[in-house]
Amino acid sequence: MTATVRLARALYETILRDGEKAAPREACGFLFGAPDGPIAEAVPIRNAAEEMRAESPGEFQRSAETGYVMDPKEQLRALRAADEKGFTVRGVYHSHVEVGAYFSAEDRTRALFDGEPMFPDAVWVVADIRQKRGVGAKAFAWNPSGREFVEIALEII
Amino acid sequence: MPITVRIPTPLRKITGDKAEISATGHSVMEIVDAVGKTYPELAVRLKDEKGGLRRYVNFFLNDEDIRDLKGAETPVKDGDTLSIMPAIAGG
Repeated sequence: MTATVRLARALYETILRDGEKAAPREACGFLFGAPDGPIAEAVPIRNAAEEMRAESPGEFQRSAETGYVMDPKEQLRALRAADEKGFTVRGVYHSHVEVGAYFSAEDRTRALFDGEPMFPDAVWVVADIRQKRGVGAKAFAWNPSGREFVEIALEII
Repeated sequence: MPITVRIPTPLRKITGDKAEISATGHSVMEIVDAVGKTYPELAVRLKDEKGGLRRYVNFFLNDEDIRDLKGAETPVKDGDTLSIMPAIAGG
């Protein structure tokens, strides 16, 4: 597990602008890059929380203002496009609106599937949106030895 | 009809680290059931208590979401690829 994630300022800005545009709803997206290179792309994905909740309220309880679910088709399209470039999922980002950037219990639960991290080596970036302005972000990563998500340093370069 | 089933990273512990497995059937549900016979633990992750496919798991036949086709009853043919992809979500 890395202790610091380095993110180009342009990508950081993409994340904050996506969060500002989506507010009061949450924004979400992927961070892609070559496995051994820098994070190269921030790709916004539509938050489909409302439709998912309407279709399956038992499995998705949250509105788009307090949760996100990546649109499945956009998710697949983005993953395929990244794959063609030789990129892997280096991170997942989403925004929190008016509550601060932290990795919530829901974030922790959903970042696991069957008790295992969906993307073991990925960083999870949470953007802090206040009154439609992106004011910061924090990063979290899976710590395999402690089997939990922990905050790591986010360095904007 | 053998088709390829792509297993997402978190479930590969069940398949012995296999990213792809082969299964035979005529529909998505038959494929999931065939996979479940080989790996019973997978079936529990993919199907809900009523026997339907979990909404929380996305199933793509080739590059199409099966919800846009015929859902669990979507027919499959030799050479197809069924990708299993958990929803990416949070609070």
